[in-house]
Amino acid sequence: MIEETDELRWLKDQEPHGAPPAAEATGWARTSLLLHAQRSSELVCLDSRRKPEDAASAPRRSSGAVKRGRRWKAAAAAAAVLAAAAVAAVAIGVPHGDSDLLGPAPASAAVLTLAQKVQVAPALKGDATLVLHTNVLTAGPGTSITGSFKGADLHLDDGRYFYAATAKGLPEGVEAGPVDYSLKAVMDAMSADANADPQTARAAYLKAVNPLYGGDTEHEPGWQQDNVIWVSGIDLLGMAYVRPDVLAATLRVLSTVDGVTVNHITFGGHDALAISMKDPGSKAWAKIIASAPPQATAAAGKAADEKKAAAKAAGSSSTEAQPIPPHLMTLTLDDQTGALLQYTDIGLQVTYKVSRVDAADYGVR
Amino acid sequence: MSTRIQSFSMETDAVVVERSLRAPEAFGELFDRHWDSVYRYCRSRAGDAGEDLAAETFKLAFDRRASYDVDRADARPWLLGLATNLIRNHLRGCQRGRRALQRLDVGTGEDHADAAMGRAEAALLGPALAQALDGIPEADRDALLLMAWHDLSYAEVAEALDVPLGTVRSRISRARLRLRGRLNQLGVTREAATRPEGDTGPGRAHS
Repeated sequence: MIEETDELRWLKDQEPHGAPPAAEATGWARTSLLLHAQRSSELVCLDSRRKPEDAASAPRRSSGAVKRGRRWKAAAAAAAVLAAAAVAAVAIGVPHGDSDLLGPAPASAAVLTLAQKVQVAPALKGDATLVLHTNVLTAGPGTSITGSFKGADLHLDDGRYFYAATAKGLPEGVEAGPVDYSLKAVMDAMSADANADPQTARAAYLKAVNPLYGGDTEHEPGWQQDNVIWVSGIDLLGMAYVRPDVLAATLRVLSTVDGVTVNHITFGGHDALAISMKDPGSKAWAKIIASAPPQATAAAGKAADEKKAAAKAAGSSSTEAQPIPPHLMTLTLDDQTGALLQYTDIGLQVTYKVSRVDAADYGVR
Repeated sequence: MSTRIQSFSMETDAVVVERSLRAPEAFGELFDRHWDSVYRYCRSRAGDAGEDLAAETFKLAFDRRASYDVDRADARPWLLGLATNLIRNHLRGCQRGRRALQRLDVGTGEDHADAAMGRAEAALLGPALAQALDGIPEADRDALLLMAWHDLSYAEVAEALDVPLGTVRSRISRARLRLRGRLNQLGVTREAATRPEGDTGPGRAHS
């Protein structure tokens, strides 16, 4: 029989006692923190009118050529380090929150251009969007699941969502009832903010998506917000095919995601945008920087030297560690219509076919 | 130089945080003081993902340092509170992933939803703890584990979770009652519950 106080003892005995943090883990965490502090401080100190103690908690809002120059210097330094790690990217995104200071990054600009195109696209017929997807799972880092399967998502304009393994199976899926997962509130918010600037659209997006993601999304760290936008945005882009206003606003929100890069490619004979995002929640980024060779950091200038010094001070073996491949997720969109074409992640490739349909053809009443 | 370092090392956490508002690099000192503790907490609650969460805790703390209550000399409860929020969000993220996989009618002979859940659970609580803590609300569990695993006082738990002291007392009391009942239900004996240090019984340890 367990008596008072015994349960606490039992609980304490059950505490997982892992090994203390390895020097490498401590090194990258400290380096990552110092880089974060350095980046934040650079942005804050750009406004010389503000006292340092006030600036630390002040909104990062201002404008001017000085800030633009600083931003490109930081981007160039980051690009040099990335190049040393053999990571190909056409443009480096900037931390969200400062795009209002500095204007859109090249990656953001390509997405915003697409947003403008789809906003003037003619309306399509039908009262629902059908998203057929083929999913191929392959073994990769962190996953051993293999296989393939198909799915059919039927998104009605009224917000209802039905699912079946195939389009032919949709009437049965409709009979079973709508699936409890709807981004209608987000679609409505995007529609209401169709012409908003990217940061305003982002705020509206997070507010609208909040109930679906635990109710605290607006107060989560930026990288977690980015994750929510990225994950839900994929669904929304499929659903919003028929709604140019929503599609355009969603693309603007996507342009605010930290670390986004864009490549212009050809996919299935169509001009397409391959929008990529590194998972900023992992330690890959800091490890890559910490493992950059000395010549690369020298070329990157003073900022990179300071980062290297920080890594050294943190005890990481900056010249011995091997770069690890970043966790890269890529979304491919038609560069004219914004239609979802493909999504790739570690061990996963999803190919989409998006079309407008009449819901009644699938048994919806 | 050495004198200066010595004087810094005698500063309270509150002073270090204040100093970091003017000299951001000073926040590294707070990291050096509490990294082990925050790391251990995050690993114990989130397994392998705890490493990233611990690092993220310090970035979040840096961003919020201006709002730190300088009357609190020790920053550890504050840091553990921030870590707790990140861990909660992480766990919700795992749940979101599970729901997303459940939406897919995979049909490959393997239950992918369970596979995803399994990966998350493998990094979290072992079977003994999972069964024992089952049914204890998240907020109560957070308070209980902060006290049991990290030796925080009631006041420090209140500080970490940013709730009144009385709320913490009732949460921990409620959680302990439930845990005791659950252990009895599971047939855990008093001897097992009070076995000597070093014998951790059926639980598991992170590698």
